[in-house]
Amino acid sequence: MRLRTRAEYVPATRDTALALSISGLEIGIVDKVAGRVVPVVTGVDLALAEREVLGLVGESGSGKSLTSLAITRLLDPKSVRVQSGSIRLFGRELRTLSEASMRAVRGKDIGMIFQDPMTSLDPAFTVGHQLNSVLRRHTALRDRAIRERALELLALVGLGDPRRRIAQYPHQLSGGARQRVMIAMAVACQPRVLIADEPTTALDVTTQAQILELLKNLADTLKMSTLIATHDLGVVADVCDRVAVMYAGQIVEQASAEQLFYHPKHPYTERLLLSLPRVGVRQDLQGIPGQPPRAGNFPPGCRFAPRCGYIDAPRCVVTAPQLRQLGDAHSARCVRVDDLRLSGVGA
Amino acid sequence: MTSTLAASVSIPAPVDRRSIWRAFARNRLSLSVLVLFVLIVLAAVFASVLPLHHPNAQSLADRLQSPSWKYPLGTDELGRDELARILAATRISLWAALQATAVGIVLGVPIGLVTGFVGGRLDSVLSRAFDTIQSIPPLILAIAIVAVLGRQLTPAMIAIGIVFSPTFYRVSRAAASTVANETYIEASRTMGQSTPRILLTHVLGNVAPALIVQTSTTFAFGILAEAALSYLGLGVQPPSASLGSMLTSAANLLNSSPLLTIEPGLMIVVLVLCISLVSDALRDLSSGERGSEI
Repeated sequence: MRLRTRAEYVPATRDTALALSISGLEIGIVDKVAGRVVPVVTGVDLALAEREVLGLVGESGSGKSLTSLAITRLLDPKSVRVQSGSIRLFGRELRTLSEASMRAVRGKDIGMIFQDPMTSLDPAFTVGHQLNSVLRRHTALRDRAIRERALELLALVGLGDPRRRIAQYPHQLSGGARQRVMIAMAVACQPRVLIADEPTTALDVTTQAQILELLKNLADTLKMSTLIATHDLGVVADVCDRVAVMYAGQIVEQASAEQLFYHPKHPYTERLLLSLPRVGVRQDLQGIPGQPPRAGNFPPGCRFAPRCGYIDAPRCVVTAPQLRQLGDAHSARCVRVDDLRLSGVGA
Repeated sequence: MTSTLAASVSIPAPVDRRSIWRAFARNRLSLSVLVLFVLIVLAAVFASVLPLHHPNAQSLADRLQSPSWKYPLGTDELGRDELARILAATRISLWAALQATAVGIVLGVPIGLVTGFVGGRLDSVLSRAFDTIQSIPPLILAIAIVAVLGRQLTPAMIAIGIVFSPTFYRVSRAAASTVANETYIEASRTMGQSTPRILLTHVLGNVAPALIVQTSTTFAFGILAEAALSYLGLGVQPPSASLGSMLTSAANLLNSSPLLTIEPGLMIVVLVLCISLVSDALRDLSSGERGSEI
């Protein structure tokens, strides 16, 4: 596994400017029949430093997509509600903004990329038309200047022959090309934060690598801070500076990519790493036994305890563990963090 | 590539306008029908500048003439040029159908788009309201309106347009509620687009093919409705010509001059048939030939 090392990378601390900071985020799903709100994301604290690439890793249903949608306030309040917490963009609280100012933030300050490029472009309009509408919404550019900027953007995201592409409809583009167009739309107004929700999941493997490379380059050239929600640890190893692992609506471990891969401190992270296929090792893949707990049915103690190989009753099952700082921007939500020796990749 | 193949199945309507026209032009029947319809419309609209007799000018010496160079389609019982009258009548017919269709679109489409997109209680209430409107028979309502406001075509056609509006409401509501759940709607929200903007571009843009088909069908119904009203003497009043009123007066002379009945009747048939065939072709194109360029 190749890990990314960047000379200029500085771990997020109080001193560096935070592009995005989320604290105490709680999200619940409205259960109309029972007339209550079932908590699905509880206590997410995340800090995205300026120009950092942060990976939010978790399996399906762990709450990573809800968290990224909550940032742009695009959850449908009829079914999903942000219960509490604060979401700050360069110190500005987003949760209390008016809908109109929030619309000005979306697309301008925060760009967003979705999982499925097949359905995230409108089939009825050309690529150029869709790019234009974003530029028209957030910039003072008009007519010829808009067209030039659109061509520039298509070239920036690595689409060959932008003049032809701009007049094409989404169905005339391949999946990778469509995702590139989506990225062009997301970065059209040079947002300071880019949120990518499973940006490569729907693409085939060779395209995935190209799209990741593109995201990495754009983050550098456009000086963006990037949050990538994914279930793919390979994506994380490729592009992320720092990683937050989510399990059952909580962040269970947060560390630099290197720390996380070589020295995991949470049993769930260890099991995730063990379930990765390794080149040169003849060994069956080891899955994690059991199922993640369902929302509304979280165990009272550690949420991973029922599936954990290091369970130490009663302290693991009685009280909910807190996220403990382990120094050097590494934290883990495990009570046995001091007495466990966990193995990482290559250990 | 497998992902591209999957796309041709899952993407709802990649409508390439240029390719629609190309496919349309390939279909000889629809193209010739469209050309015929355009010619009729042009002739009707510009009838006043064509070298024709005035449609209401009587020449009692030339009563009930057979077709000749002077009167290509003959003359009626008051010696009026049948060709000029048919073109004038066609123009009134088209205008009346346009009024009814426009009223239907203006009432049905915006409300349908909004309720389909937003859903909820508003949707239930308005859908029931439109169901109620649809239960009114259009001609009966038009006759009632004429009874109240006097014998005028415009109020009658507006009444008919109101009864047409539920079909437009249904079509746009159904399409909008499908589009509302598409990822590209969510994606355009993340780019800061407001709901009205999304409705006007993304929703309307994807509903348009269905609406075009519905519009042409309704237009044909409008022509029939106008002919029926005028046939009953409730629409266009003499001496103005209307396809329906021409049929009424010609019916008295059916034995001596059958041509006078056949000509306006044929015009109604040709108009409605043209529109129906064009609308059929449009429907096939917007549903069948999708993704042909993948």
